[in-house]
Amino acid sequence: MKIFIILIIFLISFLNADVKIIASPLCKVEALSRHEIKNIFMVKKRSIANESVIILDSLNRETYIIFIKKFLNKSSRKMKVYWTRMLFTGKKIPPKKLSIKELNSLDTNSSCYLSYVEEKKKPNKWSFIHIK
Amino acid sequence: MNYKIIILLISSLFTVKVFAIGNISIHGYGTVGLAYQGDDKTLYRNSINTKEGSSANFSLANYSSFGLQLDVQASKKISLVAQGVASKKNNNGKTLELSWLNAKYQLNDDFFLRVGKMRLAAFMYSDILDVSYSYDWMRLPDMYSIVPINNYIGVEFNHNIELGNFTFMSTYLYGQSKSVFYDNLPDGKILKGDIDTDKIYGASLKVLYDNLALRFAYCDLKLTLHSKSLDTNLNQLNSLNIPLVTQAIDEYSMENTSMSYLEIGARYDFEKAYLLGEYIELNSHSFTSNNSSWYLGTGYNFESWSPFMLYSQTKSVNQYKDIKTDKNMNPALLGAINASNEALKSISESIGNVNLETFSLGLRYNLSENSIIKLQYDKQVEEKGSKVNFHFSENKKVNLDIFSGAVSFVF
Repeated sequence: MKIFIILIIFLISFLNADVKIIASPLCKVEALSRHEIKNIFMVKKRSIANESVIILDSLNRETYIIFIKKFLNKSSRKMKVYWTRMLFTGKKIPPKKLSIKELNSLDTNSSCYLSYVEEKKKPNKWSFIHIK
Repeated sequence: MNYKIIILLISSLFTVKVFAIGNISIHGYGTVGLAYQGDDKTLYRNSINTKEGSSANFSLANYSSFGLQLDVQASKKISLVAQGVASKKNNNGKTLELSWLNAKYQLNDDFFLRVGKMRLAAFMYSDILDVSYSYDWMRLPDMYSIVPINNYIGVEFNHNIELGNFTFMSTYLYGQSKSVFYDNLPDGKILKGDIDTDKIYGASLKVLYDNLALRFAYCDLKLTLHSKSLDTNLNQLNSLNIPLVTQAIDEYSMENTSMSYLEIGARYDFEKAYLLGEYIELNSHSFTSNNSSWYLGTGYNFESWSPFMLYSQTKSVNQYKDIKTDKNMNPALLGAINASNEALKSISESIGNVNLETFSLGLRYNLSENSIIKLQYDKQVEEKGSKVNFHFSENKKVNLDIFSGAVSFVF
């Protein structure tokens, strides 16, 4: 019974986990429209307002699934097929997947990085991106 | 071939992580697939480039493939890609082939140029021909085997533009290609031929609007087709020294002859389901038949599995028209021309002739994030003289029940 209650609590917290887009300190971008988010995170565009950005995906599968559903309106199978196609036709290489620990220790002095995390796990000095 | 070793080798790949150091990365894909059909007078294959398949036995050759890709990001704008494929259906007729080997220059987000070896994107899925993980079906629809080439060496320009809610993606290409084909005689003999294509000019346009994707492609090329048996037969007819026969052979010659195709396709993605179809017309004034083919398919995505079905129809029209004769001709000449007409008609009927109907029903199941299982049943009806499968009997029509299963993965 205890395990069942813990599982329910875990599931509720998982469903409520709010995933937000974050930008590294060097980024000038403060807000993105849904359309821009789709273009940037599917690497259809590599810059916003003349600023080059590098996308980092989350290694945490739950965070990744919430993000692609919420912001890209895609299932994990659809995203996997998209990246498989881009990769094996030589068009694009999927973004690197980093853990929170790797995101925290990333050298952000030379480039603007965009990623996404659970709200409470935002690395220091990174900022949240507003949705237009 | 030791199947157990192959299966062990492939299953070990599920644990392999992507290799990446700095700007170099290695990725791969594969399929271990089995096909079975029970007619021992027919060999079921799904490409003209192969002589292997199922003939009343389980065959690994129809679907199995393994690919490895090396990507090098040489600079911000220049990248290199090399992809090798191990498959029994390779264009070059060998088990190993380099299907991609090119350098890409990315001018900006909307424009890139490639030089080297590339897949010919004749259809919606032909650029990912062997990457079975990326589509639901066991094999791509019948029309994918009627275009005689699937890769080329040359140059390709790609351009994307967004206009409101529409995205237009265009590709322009120029190049050449070499491939092989296999054919069979009723006595069981297998013939091998060469397909050389030159001056391949192609353009395609993909239009995206919301959940709708439309595709148009046109390609024009010069085709040269040689096989020992074809060359021998034509040389024999030429040696008759009858000007009308020589003229007919020249007219329908497959030496640097023009061939073109026009393809249109559409796909609509509903929230859980999809509907798609393609149509192609392939034309050439030569001994090769003109082909038209279409298919319609649909599928429904449940959480981790997806049932799908597809219907496909391909028809050929023979181009050869008999040499005209008149009653005043010398009887010996008349006899020779009539015999030549029979021989030339038979040659024409034996090249590029595809009269086929296929109904497919199947299931895809997501085994893990990187691997899927597929099961499929196909009912295939092939007319006499059609050259998709090998036929070792004189039956008018061949009905095949094909059962297939596969595991596909990427890493």
